[in-house]
Amino acid sequence: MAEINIKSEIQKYFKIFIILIVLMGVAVGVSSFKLNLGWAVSIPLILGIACVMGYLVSWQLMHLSSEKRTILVILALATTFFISMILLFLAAHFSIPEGAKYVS
Amino acid sequence: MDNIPYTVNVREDTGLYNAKLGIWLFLASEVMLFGALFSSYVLLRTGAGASWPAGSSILHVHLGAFNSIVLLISSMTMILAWAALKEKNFPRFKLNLGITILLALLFLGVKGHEYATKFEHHLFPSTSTFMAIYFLMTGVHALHIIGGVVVNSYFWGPGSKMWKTDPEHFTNRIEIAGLYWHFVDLVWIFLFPVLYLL
Repeated sequence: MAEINIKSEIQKYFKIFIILIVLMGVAVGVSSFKLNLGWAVSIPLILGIACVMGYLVSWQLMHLSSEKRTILVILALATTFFISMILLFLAAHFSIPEGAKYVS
Repeated sequence: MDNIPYTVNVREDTGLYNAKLGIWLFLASEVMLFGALFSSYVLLRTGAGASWPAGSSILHVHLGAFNSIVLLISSMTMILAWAALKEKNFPRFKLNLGITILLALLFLGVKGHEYATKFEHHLFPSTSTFMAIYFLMTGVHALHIIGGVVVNSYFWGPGSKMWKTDPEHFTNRIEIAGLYWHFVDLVWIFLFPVLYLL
Protein backbone atom coordinates (compact mmCIF):
# COMPACT_ATOMS: atom_id res chain seq x y z
CA MET A 1 0.00 0.00 0.00
CA ALA A 2 1.30 3.46 -0.82
CA GLU A 3 2.29 5.90 1.94
CA ILE A 4 -0.80 7.57 3.35
CA ASN A 5 -1.73 10.59 5.46
CA ILE A 6 -3.09 8.95 8.61
CA LYS A 7 -5.05 11.98 9.88
CA SER A 8 -7.07 12.31 6.68
CA GLU A 9 -7.46 8.52 6.51
CA ILE A 10 -8.97 8.45 10.00
CA GLN A 11 -11.50 11.13 8.99
CA LYS A 12 -12.36 9.02 5.94
CA TYR A 13 -12.81 5.91 8.11
CA PHE A 14 -15.27 7.77 10.35
CA LYS A 15 -17.30 8.89 7.32
CA ILE A 16 -17.38 5.33 6.00
CA PHE A 17 -18.43 4.05 9.41
CA ILE A 18 -21.38 6.50 9.48
CA ILE A 19 -22.41 5.45 5.95
CA LEU A 20 -22.22 1.76 6.96
CA ILE A 21 -24.42 2.32 10.01
CA VAL A 22 -26.98 4.27 7.94
CA LEU A 23 -27.04 1.58 5.25
CA MET A 24 -27.52 -1.10 7.90
CA GLY A 25 -30.44 0.90 9.29
CA VAL A 26 -32.00 1.22 5.83
CA ALA A 27 -31.69 -2.53 5.21
CA VAL A 28 -33.33 -3.36 8.55
CA GLY A 29 -35.98 -0.70 7.90
CA VAL A 30 -36.86 -2.11 4.48
CA SER A 31 -37.25 -5.55 6.03
CA SER A 32 -38.86 -4.66 9.37
CA PHE A 33 -41.32 -1.93 8.54
CA LYS A 34 -42.97 -3.80 5.69
CA LEU A 35 -42.75 -0.96 3.20
CA ASN A 36 -45.05 -2.89 0.85
CA LEU A 37 -42.24 -3.11 -1.65
CA GLY A 38 -42.76 -6.80 -2.31
CA TRP A 39 -40.02 -9.41 -2.47
CA ALA A 40 -39.23 -8.55 -6.09
CA VAL A 41 -38.05 -5.11 -4.96
CA SER A 42 -36.95 -5.69 -1.37
CA ILE A 43 -34.62 -8.67 -2.09
CA PRO A 44 -32.53 -6.82 -4.74
CA LEU A 45 -32.64 -3.68 -2.58
CA ILE A 46 -31.40 -5.42 0.60
CA LEU A 47 -28.76 -7.42 -1.31
CA GLY A 48 -27.74 -4.25 -3.15
CA ILE A 49 -27.25 -2.45 0.17
CA ALA A 50 -25.15 -5.40 1.41
CA CYS A 51 -23.02 -5.19 -1.76
CA VAL A 52 -22.44 -1.44 -1.26
CA MET A 53 -21.47 -2.11 2.38
CA GLY A 54 -19.18 -4.93 1.26
CA TYR A 55 -17.57 -2.63 -1.28
CA LEU A 56 -16.94 0.07 1.34
CA VAL A 57 -15.39 -2.40 3.80
CA SER A 58 -13.20 -4.16 1.24
CA TRP A 59 -12.24 -1.20 -0.92
CA GLN A 60 -11.73 1.40 1.80
CA LEU A 61 -11.19 -0.27 5.21
CA MET A 62 -9.17 -3.16 3.75
CA HIS A 63 -7.38 -0.73 1.43
CA LEU A 64 -8.04 -2.76 -1.71
CA SER A 65 -8.32 0.51 -3.62
CA SER A 66 -4.58 1.08 -3.22
CA GLU A 67 -3.44 -2.53 -3.13
CA LYS A 68 -1.14 -4.29 -5.59
CA ARG A 69 -2.52 -5.84 -8.76
CA THR A 70 -1.39 -9.31 -7.57
CA ILE A 71 -3.88 -9.21 -4.72
CA LEU A 72 -6.72 -8.01 -6.93
CA VAL A 73 -6.04 -10.89 -9.34
CA ILE A 74 -6.04 -13.44 -6.47
CA LEU A 75 -9.35 -12.10 -5.18
CA ALA A 76 -10.85 -11.87 -8.67
CA LEU A 77 -10.12 -15.58 -9.17
CA ALA A 78 -11.71 -16.52 -5.84
CA THR A 79 -14.74 -14.31 -6.48
CA THR A 80 -15.19 -15.72 -9.97
CA PHE A 81 -15.19 -19.21 -8.47
CA PHE A 82 -17.79 -18.14 -5.90
CA ILE A 83 -20.11 -16.45 -8.42
CA SER A 84 -19.75 -19.36 -10.86
CA MET A 85 -20.83 -21.76 -8.13
CA ILE A 86 -23.97 -19.75 -7.37
CA LEU A 87 -24.80 -19.42 -11.09
CA LEU A 88 -24.22 -23.15 -11.55
CA PHE A 89 -26.64 -23.94 -8.73
CA LEU A 90 -29.21 -21.53 -10.11
CA ALA A 91 -28.82 -22.92 -13.62
CA ALA A 92 -29.27 -26.45 -12.26
CA HIS A 93 -32.39 -25.40 -10.39
CA PHE A 94 -34.04 -23.63 -13.31
CA SER A 95 -33.24 -26.47 -15.71
CA ILE A 96 -35.39 -28.91 -13.73
CA PRO A 97 -38.29 -29.97 -16.02
CA GLU A 98 -41.66 -28.48 -15.19
CA GLY A 99 -43.66 -30.76 -12.91
CA ALA A 100 -40.61 -32.51 -11.46
CA LYS A 101 -40.53 -32.68 -7.66
CA TYR A 102 -37.77 -33.00 -5.11
CA VAL A 103 -37.78 -36.37 -3.41
CA SER A 104 -36.96 -36.27 0.28
CA MET B 1 19.20 -18.86 13.02
CA ASP B 2 18.62 -16.30 10.28
CA ASN B 3 15.65 -13.99 10.59
CA ILE B 4 12.66 -14.59 8.36
CA PRO B 5 13.06 -12.17 5.43
CA TYR B 6 10.48 -9.72 4.04
CA THR B 7 8.54 -9.15 7.27
CA VAL B 8 8.93 -5.40 6.85
CA ASN B 9 10.51 -4.78 3.44
CA VAL B 10 8.60 -5.77 0.33
CA ARG B 11 9.79 -8.47 -2.03
CA GLU B 12 10.79 -7.20 -5.46
CA ASP B 13 8.84 -9.87 -7.33
CA THR B 14 5.48 -9.46 -5.52
CA GLY B 15 5.78 -5.86 -4.34
CA LEU B 16 4.41 -7.03 -0.98
CA TYR B 17 5.82 -8.16 2.34
CA ASN B 18 5.30 -11.89 2.83
CA ALA B 19 2.61 -11.74 5.50
CA LYS B 20 0.41 -9.53 3.36
CA LEU B 21 0.56 -11.90 0.40
CA GLY B 22 -0.08 -14.76 2.82
CA ILE B 23 -3.16 -13.21 4.42
CA TRP B 24 -4.70 -12.33 1.06
CA LEU B 25 -4.16 -15.90 -0.18
CA PHE B 26 -5.79 -17.11 3.03
CA LEU B 27 -8.69 -14.67 2.63
CA ALA B 28 -9.15 -15.81 -0.98
CA SER B 29 -9.53 -19.38 0.32
CA GLU B 30 -12.01 -18.04 2.88
CA VAL B 31 -14.02 -16.41 0.08
CA MET B 32 -14.33 -19.89 -1.45
CA LEU B 33 -15.27 -21.48 1.89
CA PHE B 34 -18.05 -19.00 2.57
CA GLY B 35 -18.85 -18.99 -1.16
CA ALA B 36 -19.63 -22.70 -0.91
CA LEU B 37 -21.89 -22.05 2.10
CA PHE B 38 -23.72 -19.18 0.39
CA SER B 39 -24.11 -21.31 -2.77
CA SER B 40 -25.61 -24.10 -0.66
CA TYR B 41 -28.00 -21.57 0.84
CA VAL B 42 -29.07 -20.41 -2.65
CA LEU B 43 -29.57 -24.02 -3.77
CA LEU B 44 -31.62 -24.93 -0.70
CA ARG B 45 -33.68 -21.76 -0.81
CA THR B 46 -34.53 -21.91 -4.52
CA GLY B 47 -35.30 -25.62 -4.15
CA ALA B 48 -37.66 -25.05 -1.24
CA GLY B 49 -39.71 -22.45 -3.10
CA ALA B 50 -42.54 -20.84 -1.14
CA SER B 51 -42.09 -23.20 1.82
CA TRP B 52 -38.86 -21.41 2.83
CA PRO B 53 -39.61 -19.39 5.96
CA ALA B 54 -38.90 -15.67 6.24
CA GLY B 55 -35.86 -15.33 8.50
CA SER B 56 -37.53 -12.48 10.40
CA SER B 57 -40.35 -14.83 11.44
CA ILE B 58 -37.92 -17.19 13.24
CA LEU B 59 -34.88 -15.10 14.12
CA HIS B 60 -34.60 -12.00 16.29
CA VAL B 61 -33.89 -9.27 13.72
CA HIS B 62 -33.10 -6.59 16.30
CA LEU B 63 -30.52 -8.78 18.03
CA GLY B 64 -28.97 -9.50 14.64
CA ALA B 65 -28.94 -5.78 13.80
CA PHE B 66 -27.40 -5.01 17.19
CA ASN B 67 -24.68 -7.57 16.51
CA SER B 68 -24.09 -6.04 13.08
CA ILE B 69 -23.50 -2.64 14.65
CA VAL B 70 -21.19 -4.22 17.27
CA LEU B 71 -19.09 -5.77 14.48
CA LEU B 72 -19.03 -2.54 12.46
CA ILE B 73 -17.81 -0.61 15.52
CA SER B 74 -15.18 -3.29 16.17
CA SER B 75 -13.97 -2.94 12.56
CA MET B 76 -13.65 0.79 13.18
CA THR B 77 -11.68 0.33 16.43
CA MET B 78 -9.46 -2.25 14.72
CA ILE B 79 -8.44 0.17 12.00
CA LEU B 80 -7.98 2.91 14.62
CA ALA B 81 -5.62 0.57 16.48
CA TRP B 82 -3.52 0.20 13.33
CA ALA B 83 -3.67 3.96 12.69
CA ALA B 84 -2.49 4.59 16.28
CA LEU B 85 0.60 2.47 15.62
CA LYS B 86 1.26 4.41 12.43
CA GLU B 87 1.18 7.55 14.59
CA LYS B 88 3.44 5.80 17.14
CA ASN B 89 0.79 6.13 19.84
CA PHE B 90 1.05 2.79 21.66
CA PRO B 91 -1.42 3.52 24.54
CA ARG B 92 -4.12 4.44 22.02
CA PHE B 93 -3.37 1.24 20.11
CA LYS B 94 -3.88 -0.78 23.30
CA LEU B 95 -7.15 1.02 24.00
CA ASN B 96 -8.57 0.49 20.51
CA LEU B 97 -7.49 -3.13 20.22
CA GLY B 98 -8.85 -3.80 23.72
CA ILE B 99 -12.23 -2.35 22.69
CA THR B 100 -12.15 -4.50 19.54
CA ILE B 101 -11.66 -7.64 21.66
CA LEU B 102 -14.44 -6.66 24.07
CA LEU B 103 -16.83 -5.97 21.20
CA ALA B 104 -16.00 -9.35 19.69
CA LEU B 105 -16.79 -11.00 23.04
CA LEU B 106 -20.05 -9.03 23.18
CA PHE B 107 -20.92 -10.31 19.70
CA LEU B 108 -20.26 -13.89 20.82
CA GLY B 109 -22.32 -13.34 23.97
CA VAL B 110 -25.31 -12.10 21.98
CA LYS B 111 -24.92 -14.96 19.50
CA GLY B 112 -24.77 -17.42 22.39
CA HIS B 113 -27.96 -15.90 23.81
CA GLU B 114 -29.63 -16.28 20.40
CA TYR B 115 -28.58 -19.93 20.20
CA ALA B 116 -29.80 -20.59 23.76
CA THR B 117 -33.18 -19.03 22.95
CA LYS B 118 -33.51 -21.19 19.86
CA PHE B 119 -32.68 -24.34 21.86
CA GLU B 120 -35.24 -23.36 24.53
CA HIS B 121 -37.84 -23.19 21.77
CA HIS B 122 -36.70 -26.64 20.57
CA LEU B 123 -35.22 -25.21 17.38
CA PHE B 124 -32.16 -27.31 16.51
CA PRO B 125 -30.15 -27.81 13.31
CA SER B 126 -32.18 -30.97 12.75
CA THR B 127 -35.49 -29.08 13.01
CA SER B 128 -35.56 -27.74 9.45
CA THR B 129 -33.35 -26.96 6.48
CA PHE B 130 -33.50 -23.27 7.38
CA MET B 131 -32.31 -23.90 10.94
CA ALA B 132 -29.58 -26.25 9.66
CA ILE B 133 -28.12 -23.64 7.30
CA TYR B 134 -28.60 -20.90 9.94
CA PHE B 135 -26.62 -22.79 12.59
CA LEU B 136 -24.00 -23.89 10.06
CA MET B 137 -23.31 -20.45 8.58
CA THR B 138 -23.47 -18.47 11.83
CA GLY B 139 -21.52 -21.21 13.64
CA VAL B 140 -18.66 -21.14 11.10
CA HIS B 141 -18.69 -17.34 11.32
CA ALA B 142 -18.60 -17.46 15.14
CA LEU B 143 -15.57 -19.79 14.96
CA HIS B 144 -13.85 -17.13 12.86
CA ILE B 145 -14.72 -14.52 15.48
CA ILE B 146 -13.20 -16.75 18.19
CA GLY B 147 -10.05 -17.10 16.05
CA GLY B 148 -9.87 -13.32 15.71
CA VAL B 149 -10.28 -12.86 19.47
CA VAL B 150 -7.40 -15.28 20.14
CA VAL B 151 -5.07 -13.53 17.68
CA ASN B 152 -6.04 -10.01 18.77
CA SER B 153 -5.70 -10.95 22.44
CA TYR B 154 -2.18 -12.23 21.75
CA PHE B 155 -1.25 -8.95 20.05
CA TRP B 156 -2.85 -6.97 22.88
CA GLY B 157 -1.01 -9.00 25.53
CA PRO B 158 2.28 -10.89 25.16
CA GLY B 159 2.69 -10.21 21.44
CA SER B 160 2.75 -6.45 22.00
CA LYS B 161 6.30 -6.69 23.41
CA MET B 162 7.48 -6.65 19.80
CA TRP B 163 6.55 -2.95 19.63
CA LYS B 164 9.67 -2.16 21.69
CA THR B 165 12.06 -4.25 19.59
CA ASP B 166 10.63 -4.06 16.06
CA PRO B 167 7.79 -1.51 15.76
CA GLU B 168 7.47 -1.70 11.96
CA HIS B 169 7.13 -5.46 12.01
CA PHE B 170 4.55 -5.21 14.80
CA THR B 171 2.57 -2.59 12.85
CA ASN B 172 2.51 -4.93 9.86
CA ARG B 173 1.25 -7.75 12.08
CA ILE B 174 -1.61 -5.55 13.27
CA GLU B 175 -2.42 -4.63 9.67
CA ILE B 176 -2.65 -8.34 8.84
CA ALA B 177 -4.83 -9.05 11.89
CA GLY B 178 -6.98 -6.08 10.84
CA LEU B 179 -7.46 -7.42 7.33
CA TYR B 180 -8.68 -10.71 8.80
CA TRP B 181 -11.01 -8.87 11.17
CA HIS B 182 -12.51 -6.73 8.38
CA PHE B 183 -13.09 -9.91 6.38
CA VAL B 184 -15.01 -11.43 9.29
CA ASP B 185 -17.09 -8.23 9.38
CA LEU B 186 -17.57 -8.43 5.61
CA VAL B 187 -18.96 -11.98 5.85
CA TRP B 188 -21.46 -10.86 8.51
CA ILE B 189 -22.54 -7.94 6.29
CA PHE B 190 -23.85 -10.58 3.85
CA LEU B 191 -24.89 -13.21 6.41
CA PHE B 192 -27.17 -10.87 8.33
CA PRO B 193 -29.47 -9.80 5.46
CA VAL B 194 -29.49 -13.26 3.88
CA LEU B 195 -30.50 -15.08 7.06
CA TYR B 196 -32.39 -12.45 9.07
CA LEU B 197 -33.95 -10.05 6.60
CA LEU B 198 -34.89 -12.03 3.49
